[in-house]
Amino acid sequence: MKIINWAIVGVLILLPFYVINRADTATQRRMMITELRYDAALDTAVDDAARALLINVNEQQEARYESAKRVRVNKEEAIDTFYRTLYMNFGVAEDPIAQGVLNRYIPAVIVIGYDGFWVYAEEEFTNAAGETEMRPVWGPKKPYAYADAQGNSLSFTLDDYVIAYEAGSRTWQEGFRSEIQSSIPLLHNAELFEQVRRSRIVNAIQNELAYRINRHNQYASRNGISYTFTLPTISEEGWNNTVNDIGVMAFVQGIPMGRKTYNNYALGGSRVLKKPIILGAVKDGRKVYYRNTCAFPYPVEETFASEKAAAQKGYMPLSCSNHP
Amino acid sequence: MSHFVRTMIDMSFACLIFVMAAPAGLLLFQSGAAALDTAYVSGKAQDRNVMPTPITGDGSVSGAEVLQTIAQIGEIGMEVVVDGTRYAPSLEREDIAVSAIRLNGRYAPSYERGPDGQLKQIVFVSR
Repeated sequence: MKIINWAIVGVLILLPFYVINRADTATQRRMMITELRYDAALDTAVDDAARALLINVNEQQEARYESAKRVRVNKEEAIDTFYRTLYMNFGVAEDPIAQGVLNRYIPAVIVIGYDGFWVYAEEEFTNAAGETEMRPVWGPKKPYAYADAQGNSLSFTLDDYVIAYEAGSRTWQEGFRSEIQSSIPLLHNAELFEQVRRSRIVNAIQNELAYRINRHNQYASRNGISYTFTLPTISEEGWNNTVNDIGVMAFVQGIPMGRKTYNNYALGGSRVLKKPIILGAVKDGRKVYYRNTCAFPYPVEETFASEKAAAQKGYMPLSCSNHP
Repeated sequence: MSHFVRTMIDMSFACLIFVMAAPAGLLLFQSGAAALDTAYVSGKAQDRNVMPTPITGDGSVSGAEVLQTIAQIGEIGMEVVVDGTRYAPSLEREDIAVSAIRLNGRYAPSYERGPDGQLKQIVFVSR
């Protein structure tokens, strides 16, 4: 046998392996790119929704002075924004049928508010025509509630603010933990209070989500989706971020993707941060700027949104620590 | 150069190419397969549904949750019924009959909805 024949035999043996390997690599690559695109779509949708939570049409319901986190959330605007961004990034903004298919893979969206949370999930109800309709609807507001063995009850919030019922005196009190005069033992231990508060909020959200996702399985199977939706394992860090501020959490599960299915969840927070105001003033005939938190007595000439803007107008920085 | 010598040189060159190509090809194949395995394993580890959380909510709520729902009834803005007792949205917190609610018990909630799906009433029944 000539050497060229051996070479041909060798190539014939190896070629299938190389072809399979190459096809697998290409599939894997496509899957990873698709997964990245879906991740980005979900993250963006949740971030947009979290931002929309703060859209407020009622001036009376702006953030209150007691706490920066105490904001009336606009959950309707948030959910509209979530779906709008998601449909756009999945390329189905103009296709209601594809949107319906995509909805089947979203078992629940949760809005975490200051003193309770809401779940947006599919439910059945009787519509105006008397027919049974199934579509995502809002559940009731669920408070972060707690009761101790003595019959006292607390409703937690995302910070120290509580609504407390004291069983002994049969009275209700509301305010920050340190300000409430009560015999409820939990209110006298800041560390334990924080631990219980966090675990109660996380447990309440987990239980409700697990229930809603389980129910979604029944609805999904009627729509031809043979996929078992489950509450995914979320890291402790993830849950800690959840209970730090108002936000939106969404789950997407079971989208067929190559040989596997796409599962992910995303959390978007809408932390309210107030930017400091920069004041431009005149000190001994010299133009200076400083933050409004500095208690300088100099006559204020202008206010600016940033230090850069003040400097561009010829003001010199004046640090609080420079004040005699 | 004789034909024999030319053949020898050709064969040597062919052998050299083969000896270099065979391990290189094998290495390429092995590293490709290893990369695929790694990608598959990492994808599997990130597949959150492979590791579902052990929590299985049954939809019931605690008595504390029922009480605090009634305490915030003005904000919730709808009627709440607990074991047949109706609480109107205008109810003041101080007027809640707390003794009628088992704080450490469990309640099964059900929701009455309007024709467009909005919540009309929350009903809690003892379990």
